[in-house]
Amino acid sequence: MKFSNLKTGTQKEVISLDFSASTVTIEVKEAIKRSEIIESQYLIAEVYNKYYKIFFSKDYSDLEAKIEPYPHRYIYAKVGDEIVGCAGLYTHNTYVEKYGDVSTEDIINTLLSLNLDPNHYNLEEKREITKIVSKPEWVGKGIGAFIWGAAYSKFFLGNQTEKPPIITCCAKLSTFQYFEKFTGITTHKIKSFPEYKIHEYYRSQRDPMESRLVIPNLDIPNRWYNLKIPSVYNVGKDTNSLKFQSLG
Amino acid sequence: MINETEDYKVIVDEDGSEAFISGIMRLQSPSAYEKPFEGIINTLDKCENLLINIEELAFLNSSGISSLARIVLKARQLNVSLIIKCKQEIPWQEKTLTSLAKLYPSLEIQTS
Amino acid sequence: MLTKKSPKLPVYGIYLGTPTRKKPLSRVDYTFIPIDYIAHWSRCGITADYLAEYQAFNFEKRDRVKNILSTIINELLENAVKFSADAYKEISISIYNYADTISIQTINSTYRRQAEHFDGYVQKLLDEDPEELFIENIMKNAENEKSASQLGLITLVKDFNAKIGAKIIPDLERRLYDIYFKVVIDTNAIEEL
Repeated sequence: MKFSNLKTGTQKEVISLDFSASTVTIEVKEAIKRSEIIESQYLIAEVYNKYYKIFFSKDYSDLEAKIEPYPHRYIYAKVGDEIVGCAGLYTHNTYVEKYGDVSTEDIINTLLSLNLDPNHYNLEEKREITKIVSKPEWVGKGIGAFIWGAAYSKFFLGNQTEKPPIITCCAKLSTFQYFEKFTGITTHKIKSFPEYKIHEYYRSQRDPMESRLVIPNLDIPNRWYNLKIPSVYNVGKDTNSLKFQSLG
Repeated sequence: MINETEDYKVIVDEDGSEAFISGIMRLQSPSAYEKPFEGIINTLDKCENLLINIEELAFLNSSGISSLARIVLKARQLNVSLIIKCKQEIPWQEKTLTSLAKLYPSLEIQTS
Repeated sequence: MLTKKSPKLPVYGIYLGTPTRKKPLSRVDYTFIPIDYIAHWSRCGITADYLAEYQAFNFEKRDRVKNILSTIINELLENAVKFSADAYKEISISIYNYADTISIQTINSTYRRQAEHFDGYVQKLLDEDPEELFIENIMKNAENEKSASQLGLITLVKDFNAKIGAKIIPDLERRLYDIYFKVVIDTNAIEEL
């Protein structure tokens, strides 16, 4: 999971921002119709190719060859009639298992280290938020951070029965820090992510990638977990915070 | 060992002396061929003779030609006697193999 | 040549000759945006197959001609997609049959660095023996892994006797370069290639 076009760390351009003047109104929905799925896939393909020279395939993936698998589900933000940001979800074959060498035992160990009982979780079922992107011309307005939060909603993660699934994600440290700063969603390291050619323009020695675990009742603030979707939101971001308001 | 997608199939038989590449291979880059050709590259370490049959391979793009050349170079390095079987009806095959034979003069090209 | 100092225009090969005044017998112009091919790479192959099959109707050995043209067109499409600067800036491919020749031209827009690299590559391709260049590039590829093999255009010249030409036109406003690349094949020889 990568966030492609947010500049993290130094955001010189904004010192103080009039929240009301800089909000953007977005419609947030899961991509259900074919048209919505295609538009989400194209946005992901565009951004990943532009920044990382990555290609996508429906039935094939090879990280050494820079070919990524498309996610299984998508959530998106629309302004007018255009999707300006989206995130994907792997509902099986997650990145951390397939490429991150994360085993069920690793997950159990992480749960135990958090004093959680692995028996309370359905270890067979995994969810992974991935491919958070926003259209290059919409970067910096908080859409990416909002979509990250919305992707961690009960609605999008789905199937939170008595034995909830395991929720994982994979990103570089600065991405985790950035999203935690703006959404308050915390994450727990499972292990370092191995180096692949596909991430040559994404990760660096100073900013390595990790596989992480997210526990809804520990990590996801209620405003995100219970976020109403589909809905319309006013979203605004300044240097330190993301604000949003439901317009019903 | 079989590596298969909708478009192509790469098979290395059990005793590791024969390989088949068939279908259409037009992958994005030379590195995209590493996985599908892995079985052939590995078998070169274990065999003295290898026959690669590409008669049913309709297309191989230039990234694939570069990867096929790696197989030929490895065969040369390990002194494996290599035969590549191709089909006269598929124009790029013989032309490509004739050029590759310049890398490894004992490469034998069988044309059907 | 892309430097300001050089007076030489970046126009090479068949683009230097006088353009034919003959009307093409057959003409297909196909325009697309690279994002489609980035989103689904296999579209390069299906486009090449379609355009090749379309041309192949004029020949007795249809399968053979289709295979040759599809091989050529696929290499041109893959290059145009890989080396496009903007996923939404159109790429065009035109296939004209002038009876004695089939001409295939692609136009795509790329960054300066790639335009410079392409410039050097084309000059080499026109000056050197394609067989030697082929071997030289294979040896280079074997030494270090590259995202592109650099073999595509060489094989067109080496295997199909293609005459080639290139033009690099700077688009100063967008700080990009439009790359014109043309391949001409002898209609009377293609079935025997």
